[in-house]
Amino acid sequence: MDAAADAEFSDFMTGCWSGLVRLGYGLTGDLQHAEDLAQTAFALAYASWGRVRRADDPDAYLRRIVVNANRNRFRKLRVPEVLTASVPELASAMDSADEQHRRDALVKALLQLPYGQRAAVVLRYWLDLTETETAAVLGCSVGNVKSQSSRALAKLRGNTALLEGGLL
Amino acid sequence: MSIEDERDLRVQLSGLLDGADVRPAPVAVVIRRGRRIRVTRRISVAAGLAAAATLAAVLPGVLAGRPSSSGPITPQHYSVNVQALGPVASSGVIAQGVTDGKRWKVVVSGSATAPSVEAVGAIGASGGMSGPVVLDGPVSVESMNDSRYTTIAGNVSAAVTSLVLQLPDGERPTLTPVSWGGARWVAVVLPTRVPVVRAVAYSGTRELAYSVPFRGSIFAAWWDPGQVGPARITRSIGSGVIDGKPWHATAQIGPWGWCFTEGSGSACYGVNPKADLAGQRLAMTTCSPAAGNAPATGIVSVASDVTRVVLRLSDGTSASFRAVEVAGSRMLGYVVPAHVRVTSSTEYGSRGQVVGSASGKAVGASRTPGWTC
Repeated sequence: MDAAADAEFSDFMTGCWSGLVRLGYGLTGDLQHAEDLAQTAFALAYASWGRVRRADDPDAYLRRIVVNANRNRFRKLRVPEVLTASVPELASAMDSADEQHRRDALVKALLQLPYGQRAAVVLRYWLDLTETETAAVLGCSVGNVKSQSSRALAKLRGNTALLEGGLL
Repeated sequence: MSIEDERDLRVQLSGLLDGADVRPAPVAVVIRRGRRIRVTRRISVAAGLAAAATLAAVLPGVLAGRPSSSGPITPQHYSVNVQALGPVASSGVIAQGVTDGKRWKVVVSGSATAPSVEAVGAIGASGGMSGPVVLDGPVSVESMNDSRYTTIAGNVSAAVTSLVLQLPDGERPTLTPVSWGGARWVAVVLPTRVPVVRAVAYSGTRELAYSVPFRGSIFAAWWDPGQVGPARITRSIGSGVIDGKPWHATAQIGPWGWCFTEGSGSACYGVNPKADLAGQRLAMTTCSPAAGNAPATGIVSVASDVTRVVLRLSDGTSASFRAVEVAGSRMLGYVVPAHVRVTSSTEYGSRGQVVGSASGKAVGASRTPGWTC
């Protein structure tokens, strides 16, 4: 790639980086993994930048890579998602114990959702994508997004950890 | 806090990363990774000596239309079985089969304008080929490999009814196009150690085009039946030592097209990149920008009267590169240390006379300003 394309890619990546890390964090509950996923997505985008830049929505393309790459990470490694007592994301020293507790509980609740439901929740309610945009990222129908989101919300409402933590 | 409705959930989720430190975007790291992916796609290196030795033994004979002197060589034992699928992809599956006893599927997903192709199954998942379909001939396929498997996938025109791959032992897996997203797709998973000797696109029983992939997996040029690609030439177009490490640039031209290898990667063209000179005295054919401590490297096409180019660098040194005649083009490979930029260039003719010069960012083709790519 030439310098102009590199510069264009650099601007694109800088603008989209935090959003993609957020998506990865919502899917994995682990900021380190989230950054790895985002890096993978951007590296793949760089490798095909000439074509990706011409896509209607390069952001959606990258989100899709993150969603699939995380799904494949577990397929490939055959590692079950193990729910741990504490969530290993980074916390600011300024976090109050309550905030940390709420964050842990919510991330754990997300990780207990089936992958498709979790992805739908993160895309719809965290990244504020429309149902159509979410469907495009997940490669499914809008109706499927609605049903996945609905089931996810029902499960979150019934999550005992959230209930016991006074979060519901 | 309660999760009573979607709005509450949005509020709770939006606070999740508050206070968490997301590092700045590691652009340089990602570009290095992306560049490695591009190199991996372009060049089949994982099988290393085994594939290279097989190609060296098999290709000359095959390309010349005669058996190699030592007869066909089968790179160890392998098996490739491709199952024919329906005309329309189901659940995005554009190909499936069994390679070396491992089941695989190649799945396309995303949208028609931004498809993403990945191979999944017992071979392990591998993703990466992506982007809008660009088809300017009967066939356009890319390959992507890891140390064990190479996925070849791409698109064919409406006229193509099958794509037949010729493997070293004479096996010929047939890829049948499958429609997805308004395009017609073909794909296969091969052992990385098994190079493709030739690929032929058919319309029924009529041959439409053929390709001889570079190093067994880079499909750059597709020729009409009976059309012969350029004569085979391998020529060094630059070498030296940079930061204590040897560096070489090589042009390899032949039925596979025009391929240029510098550093660890290759770039291949289906047409003579000489056309890219477009009246300029210098034009970048391919380049890799510096990354970290790795130098910037590239290959430049030069006008016919240029025999040598001297680059003056920002650290006060200069570097001289000799242009070489390659298949009707004059080319040179160059290397510029990392963290150093080219401040000017001077082109010399055969009698040592200056035939051109440029400074700063004016050097090079319009889309590749500067020799640091």
